[in-house]
Amino acid sequence: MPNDTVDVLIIGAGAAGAAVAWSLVDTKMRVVCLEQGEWVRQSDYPTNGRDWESRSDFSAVPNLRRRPEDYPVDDSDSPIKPVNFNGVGGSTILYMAHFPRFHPSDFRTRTLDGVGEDWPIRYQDLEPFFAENDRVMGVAGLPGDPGCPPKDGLLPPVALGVLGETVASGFNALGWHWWPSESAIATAPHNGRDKCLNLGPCATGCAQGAKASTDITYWPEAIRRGVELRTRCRVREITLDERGFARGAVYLDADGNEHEQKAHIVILACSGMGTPRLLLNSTSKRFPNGLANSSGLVGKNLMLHCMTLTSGIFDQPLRGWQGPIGCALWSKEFYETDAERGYARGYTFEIVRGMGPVATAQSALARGALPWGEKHHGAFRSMFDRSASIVAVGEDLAEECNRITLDHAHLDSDGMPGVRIEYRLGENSRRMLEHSGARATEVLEAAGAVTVAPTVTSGIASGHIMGTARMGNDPDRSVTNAWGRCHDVKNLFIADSSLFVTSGGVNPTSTLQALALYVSHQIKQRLDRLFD
Amino acid sequence: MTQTIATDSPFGQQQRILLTTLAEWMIPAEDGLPSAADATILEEIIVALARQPEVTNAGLQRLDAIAKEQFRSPVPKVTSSERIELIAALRAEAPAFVTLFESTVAACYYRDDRVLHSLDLPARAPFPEGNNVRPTDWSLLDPVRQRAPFYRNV
Ligand SMILES: Cc1cc2nc3c(=O)[nH]c(=O)nc-3n(C[C@H](O)[C@H](O)[C@H](O)COP(=O)(O)OP(=O)(O)OC[C@H]3O[C@@H](n4cnc5c(N)ncnc54)[C@H](O)[C@@H]3O)c2cc1C
Repeated sequence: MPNDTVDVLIIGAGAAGAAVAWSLVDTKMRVVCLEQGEWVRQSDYPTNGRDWESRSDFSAVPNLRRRPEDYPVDDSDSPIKPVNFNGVGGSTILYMAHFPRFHPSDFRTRTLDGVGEDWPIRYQDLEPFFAENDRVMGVAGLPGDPGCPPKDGLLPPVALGVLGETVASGFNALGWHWWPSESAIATAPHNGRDKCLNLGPCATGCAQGAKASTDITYWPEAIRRGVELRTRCRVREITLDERGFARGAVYLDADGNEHEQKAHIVILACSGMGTPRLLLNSTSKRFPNGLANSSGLVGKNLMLHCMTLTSGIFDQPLRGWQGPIGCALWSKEFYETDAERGYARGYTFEIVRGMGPVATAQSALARGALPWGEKHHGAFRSMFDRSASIVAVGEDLAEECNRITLDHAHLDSDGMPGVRIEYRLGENSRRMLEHSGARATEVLEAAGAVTVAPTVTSGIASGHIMGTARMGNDPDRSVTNAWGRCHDVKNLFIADSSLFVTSGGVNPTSTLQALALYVSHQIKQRLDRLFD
Repeated sequence: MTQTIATDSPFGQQQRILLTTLAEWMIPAEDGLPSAADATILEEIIVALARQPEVTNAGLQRLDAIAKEQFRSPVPKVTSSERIELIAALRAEAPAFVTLFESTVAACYYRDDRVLHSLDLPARAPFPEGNNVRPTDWSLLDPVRQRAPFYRNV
């Protein structure tokens, strides 16, 4: 019977949910995962077709994509626009697979720099899980980066190409750090996946299957070993029993039929946006403001990363449309706090390869940089394949005013409220953005750019959604304890980037997956006293 | 273009003339390169715009009205200097249409085989052939390798 009580119910089959399911399989418990989206076939990805640059069904913007499994996101009150994908693999279907880890200092920002809060765990606690995650996902990189803790077991690094080498020469000219990015991309065959073909646009899905999305990394093995994954099952609410324990979840299947799946342990892995949405939508007499929300912090402390994008035009072709778009090189030159810079914490520079012809034309037209008429062709030729961009991913400090709430005015296809994002850039972020834009301009100039466009600081999309159900030791200042168990509900766990206490200045997926493996490890270690 | 699409198109003859004119204005032909009003490209543009007929028809109506009000001329007959003013006015009065139109024309034009060949790009989908990226000479990293670790090891 599908809806008998199971041992573990995981909600969300993305980056975190897949890792948790894979890890818990060891226990021989009956594990079921409910996912609102579908499996994606590699043959459906846009890079299979000539219209690969124009397909909205693989847009990262849910309001444009509008699949039945998506939910509305009102981001009009945020300069940063959250993006995602809902399906088996979650947002890793569309992520760029840039795969840095958080730095040790990211877990100790209060102690070291007097800002944010310290995590209840340290980098060292996650280290074995970073390594385990790297093994399953397959991470390319070059050992020896002086900007990061050592690691091994890496696949060969992604080649820089002309574009990457050109920008690297700019960093060298300034004497600044750079290193080939760690990338969750199989640059050699790995765990049955074939190697990267340099298709280019990883952010519309990888038709080759070289990019480590969790539908092709964790899930096949988890399912083979007994996890049951049910797709097109949208969880509307977590139910409670009379003791105040989670009883299970009410969900709607693809035909809109309602079911309740009961479970002894419930684990939320719906993303930094989907997890608070579900908790806030699960109200009861005991929790009128949302489940596990006695601290009032569910949905708050949203962090999206403050980002800048600086682009330079070069006078030679950069072959930028070839190779994984988001994975070339990074720089940690400005990662750690330096009081002289006028702000706390720091950022990573990431080099973005060039766009294809359609995206080049569309983005230039949108900026008013590509004229109509006889000057069109010359202008296009001067920019296509001649542009290199530097993105700064900056640490944004958690603030309670930055938050996710339910949007009852916009409902998903099952009638569940969408989300509203309220987010502003704090003063520290503003100073960091200014610093990063100026430094990126220097790099591009040193690399030989003939023009550098003004740095873009708003309207940037971010799939980095963190902090909305943070972990901590104090139940008044956090939603879960140090191993992801909700303070208020002893059999309810959170395993995604909602748990993050700080955002770091790097993409979050490596860290959130290590954290998910850590949470499941803690569950496995404590099975005999899990609810004490 | 197949009969079916022509019959199903939400655009009549008048709208097709306006779309042809605008496409020609946006990307004219040049040295062996087609214009965006080239028959093959234009049909793709029309099929794509037909997915958003309300925005398109409203935009074309505005275009026609501005030409008549400001220049007392049908759109295809406005002079090249008037054209710039006409497009600026359209941008101000029907921004959603201009954004849609520009984005659609770019999507259809820059995937045409002739255009891709002129840019030295393969006229095919990226998968399954992929692309060759030249191997990196990692001696480029030598200056960085000399640096001591500088992350805070806490
Ligand atoms: C375009 C793009 C580029 C990115 N690039 C990078 C990058 O280069 N590096 C990096 O580290 N990160 C990147 N990211 C971010 C990365 O994808 C996310 O950090 C990561 O996938 C988050 O993992 P998660 O498990 O928390 O959420 P997700 O992976 O988003 O998974 C959540 C899953 O939960 C499901 N779900 C939600 N609510 C419900 C419900 N009520 N019922 C049932 N199922 C539900 C969703 O359908 C989804 O499948 C990118 C993201 C995008 C969109």
